[in-house]
Amino acid sequence: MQTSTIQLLGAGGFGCIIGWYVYYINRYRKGDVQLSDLVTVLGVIGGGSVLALFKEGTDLFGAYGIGLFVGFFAYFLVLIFLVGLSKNFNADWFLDGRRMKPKGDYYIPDEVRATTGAMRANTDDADLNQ
Amino acid sequence: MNEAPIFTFSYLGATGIGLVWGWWCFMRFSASKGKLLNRLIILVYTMGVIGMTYWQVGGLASLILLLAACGAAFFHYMWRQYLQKKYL
Repeated sequence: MQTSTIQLLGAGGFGCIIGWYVYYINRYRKGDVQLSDLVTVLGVIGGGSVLALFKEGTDLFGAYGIGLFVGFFAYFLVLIFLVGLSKNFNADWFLDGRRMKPKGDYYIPDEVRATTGAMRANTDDADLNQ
Repeated sequence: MNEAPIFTFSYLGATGIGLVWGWWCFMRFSASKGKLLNRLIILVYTMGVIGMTYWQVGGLASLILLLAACGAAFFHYMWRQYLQKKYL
């Protein structure tokens, strides 16, 4: 069965978003592999299952996989680019997150919320309410 | 003859998924200090991904996915080794 260009673009774009999100959500994770990692698995193969709603034998699976690759590694390339651009980070940030301490005229205003990862959102909210 | 481009596209997609999967596995595995249970869970998840690809496209695509995943995991390992030698 033939698929239209718009269907291919849709499947590819869908994979691209999932790939970007999979990198983002796993970037902050440090603990044991656990059931919540199922989110990633669902992202990678669950997306393929969504494509199973369409007729089998089409190239939507291929478009989804290519989109997933593009989104995932685009996030990684953007990280490399931003780390290379910044004077506060070096490539060793990829190992353990090390960075330069702010010094001189830098300060963090009290009203600015700390940067947080998706998996820590509830914890931080709880901290804010205390 | 008309099916050739579709299968080429599917194999490219399987390669993409495999590269993402291999990279993610090593990223996740190295962050979780490589316990036995982590290895088992990742192995089970990997079987799921391969099974899903087999169901969607076929055996060759599953093999391509597995090879791509191994390649990505190896490349990630080499990259981390390079960073560790250079900075630690």
